[in-house]
Amino acid sequence: MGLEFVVEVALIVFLIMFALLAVELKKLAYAVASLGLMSTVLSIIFYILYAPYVAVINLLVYAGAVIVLFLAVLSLMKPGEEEGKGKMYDIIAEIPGGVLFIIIAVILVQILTTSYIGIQFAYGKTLNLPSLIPPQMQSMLQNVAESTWRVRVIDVLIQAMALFVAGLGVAVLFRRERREKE
Amino acid sequence: MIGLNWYLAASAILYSIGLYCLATKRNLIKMIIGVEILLNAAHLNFIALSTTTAGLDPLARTYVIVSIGVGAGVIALALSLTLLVYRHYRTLDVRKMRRLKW
Amino acid sequence: MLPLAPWLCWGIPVIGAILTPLLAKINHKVRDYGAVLFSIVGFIFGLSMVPDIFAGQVVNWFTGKVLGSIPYESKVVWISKLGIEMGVLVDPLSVFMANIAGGLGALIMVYALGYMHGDPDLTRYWFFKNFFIGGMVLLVISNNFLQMFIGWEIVGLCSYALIGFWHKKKEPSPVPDYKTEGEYNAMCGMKAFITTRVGDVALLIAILTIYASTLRTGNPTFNFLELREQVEWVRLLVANGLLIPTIILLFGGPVGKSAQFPLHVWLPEAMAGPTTVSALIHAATMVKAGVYLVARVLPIFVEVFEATNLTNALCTFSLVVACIGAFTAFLAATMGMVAREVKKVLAYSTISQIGYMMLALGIGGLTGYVAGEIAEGYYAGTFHLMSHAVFKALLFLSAGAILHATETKDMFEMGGLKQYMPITYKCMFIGALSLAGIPPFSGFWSKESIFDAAWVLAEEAYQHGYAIIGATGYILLFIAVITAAMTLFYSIRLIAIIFIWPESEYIKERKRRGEHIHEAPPVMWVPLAVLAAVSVIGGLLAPAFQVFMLKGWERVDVHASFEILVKTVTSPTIFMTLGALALGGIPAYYFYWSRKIDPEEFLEKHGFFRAVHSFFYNRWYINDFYMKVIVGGFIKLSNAVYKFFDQAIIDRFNYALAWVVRSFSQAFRKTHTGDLNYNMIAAMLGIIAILLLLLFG
Repeated sequence: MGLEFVVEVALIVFLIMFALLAVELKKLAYAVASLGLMSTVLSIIFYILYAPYVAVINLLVYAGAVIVLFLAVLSLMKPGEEEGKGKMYDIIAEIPGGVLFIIIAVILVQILTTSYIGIQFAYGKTLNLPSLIPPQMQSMLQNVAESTWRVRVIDVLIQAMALFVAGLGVAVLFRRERREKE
Repeated sequence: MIGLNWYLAASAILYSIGLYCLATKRNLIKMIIGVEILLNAAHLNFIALSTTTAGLDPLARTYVIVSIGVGAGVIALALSLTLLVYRHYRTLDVRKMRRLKW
Repeated sequence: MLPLAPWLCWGIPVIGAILTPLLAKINHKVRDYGAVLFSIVGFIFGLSMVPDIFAGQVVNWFTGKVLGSIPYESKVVWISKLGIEMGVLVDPLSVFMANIAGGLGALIMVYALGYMHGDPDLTRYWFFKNFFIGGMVLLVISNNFLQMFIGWEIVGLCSYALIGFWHKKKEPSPVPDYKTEGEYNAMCGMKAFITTRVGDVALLIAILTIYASTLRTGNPTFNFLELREQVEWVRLLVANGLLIPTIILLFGGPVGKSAQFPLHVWLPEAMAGPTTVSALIHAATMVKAGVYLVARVLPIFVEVFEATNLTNALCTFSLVVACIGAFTAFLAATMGMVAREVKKVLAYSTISQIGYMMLALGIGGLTGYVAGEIAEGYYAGTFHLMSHAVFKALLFLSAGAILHATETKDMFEMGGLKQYMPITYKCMFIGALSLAGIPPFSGFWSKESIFDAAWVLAEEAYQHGYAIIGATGYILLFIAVITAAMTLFYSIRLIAIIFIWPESEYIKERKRRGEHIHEAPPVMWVPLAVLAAVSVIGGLLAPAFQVFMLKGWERVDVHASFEILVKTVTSPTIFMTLGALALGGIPAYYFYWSRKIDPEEFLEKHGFFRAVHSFFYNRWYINDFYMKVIVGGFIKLSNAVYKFFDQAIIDRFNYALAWVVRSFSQAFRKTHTGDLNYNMIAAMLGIIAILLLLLFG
């Protein structure tokens, strides 16, 4: 119980809150902004869970590039077209989905929190933000790089190729878009 | 200093939010947001479970890195398709895109 | 050689072919010159292997490292258990053929810059042309049957695509059965494709039979060198009684591809394509693929049959090759004497000359049977292949220049072109003399060495007590010499009608309209001049060629000297050759050159010659026979199958199936709302079920 506890709980609360906002906000631009905030919070959580690489990549890709892409797509649409009519929140209309949502949430929390009791969670000695990663963990982080580039080099390369193809595909789709416009 | 369970619970709730979004929202952009939330939930789960006293599991982290890349590709493709769909139907409401149905 | 030359000499043209559509996006100049450049670079890589053959060992020029001696193999094993591999073989035959294909390919690509200029479909043209060169070089440089067959099919495909290249032409068809010329061209492509396919299937069966027997002996391979080393497969084939059928079927591929007797009917029709295509594919290279294959398997057969005491099989194979070759040479020459179109004459002469090559290889095999040495016939066949590739390409390209200028194919519509196209006239004249075997042009030396080989065969056979083979040798020699007489006859006829005869009505009409006939542009006549020069000095290349071709043959001892030329000239067959030239040349001179006797009147007067003329002109009625019996029979069979099997059984079954499926989907279509949210909710329910199972299961 202390500052760390408060900060972490606050982060988790923010995470869920932004996720809910991203889903529920009627105005798409706001929803996307909220999604970006959620990704940022998630990156911070990754960072304090000793996953700095993942945190940085998450920040760059999900909080950065993808959000830009979302906004670019939104800007190509006619303003007003994408927004729903009526109130900002429309929860009553979504009761059946919401009920299912609560059921799943309860069961999942139940399963996840009971199935992994045996695992000793490593994090949690001190919350020392400037040098967050304790020295004994530093060598283990090297393992991440090691395993990315040595053990799994083939699927990393395949991923790079898949991304390249996806990028080309998106470029082609956007291009055709522009052509049709002309 | 909170336990593993908190993070697992958070990831479970995120996952449910993603599914909920996919199930109830009619807007294509919203559905893509739901997909991204689902991805994030899975990533959080991976990272949390790989942080043990026995050591950090590097494999889990590299999987997450790969998954982030692939997820970004999927979302980019989905967005560009959305744009094309929008040009074609002049709407983002999935219930109005019924021409695929016979 | 340049590093990786055996791979790059076919890889670069293929890459060039794939890049052509991309280059076409930039602009047309880049596309045209780029395509030509790729073929030239590929040829340079092929050419760099020639010094290695002379040296007897393969050296990387950049690192100076000796990679191995001839025959040198470079391969990547794919499935080692099944003996499936990808590799290249550097030996005299493959390097020789690769340079013929690559060199003539590059030269004709340059010519095509002028000839095809401004055609709207040039992207397609360059693609298939480069793809063809790559496929042809792949065919000849492969180290195994499987890869060779891939190349074999690639060149077949390109041939089909290029014969029908002008399938959009709207002019009236030259044959009444089709509406437009384009349709006729497309049909010609199909005819070539289907006819050669008959041979290809036979070849594939033979390859797979050989492979299956190597598989049974536990050492599966397609590799030429390995097939030569291990002999067990032959024993197994003999034990199953499959040896003779297999080697005859193997010859089926060459018969189809090289347009030999039963399957020769496609080549004259293949002339519907652009002349550059006819020159490269249907005269200089692709049709030689069959000769290449026979030359490739003949040494293998000699070795393995000797090792297993089965030389009778070698005798059978060689006899079939020689007889089909000789008969085809004769058959095609008779048709060539009466053809009306320039390119058809050249096509018949191509078939005839390839018959000569087959004859030479068969004679080589027979000599191997009686005296144990195939080098003479082998050398004669490959040497004739080279000189023919050069002079036939020359003739075709000259014909292309003429067609380009006059815009007609019929040679009776030309005449008097000597004054308008002097360079083309000289080049084509040299080509025709070389084709006819007039000394001292290259055709004389190569053809004379074939006669010499036949003579040697007959002598050797009598010496070793094989009277029947000796008699066969004399008969083959006789047919070859008679064919030489006819060759001179139609060569003179061709040149005289096009260049010497007075101008035809058609030409006068064109001139009246103000369309004057011009000499070809330099980009077209420079390749002609190069080829003409090679045709003139061809004989001098013989010593070097012999050293090159027979490098690595242990039993033959050759050194570069002009003895071989002396031997050729002093051979007893020289008198027969000169007699034959007189026999063919004198009538042709009177009929066509000096025009002392009018050929038309002569035919009017002599009923016998009229009958022979029409028999030859209708191509011995072989074409009509195939059309009626095989094509017509097949159509009738198909109609019967359609009526009694397709309509009666399959259609009804399909109706029933369709009815079942439709009723089923009618019943279930209500559940498909097309609403993504419902799908998602269903997915969620599924997840809940799985989770509950996890929790309580």
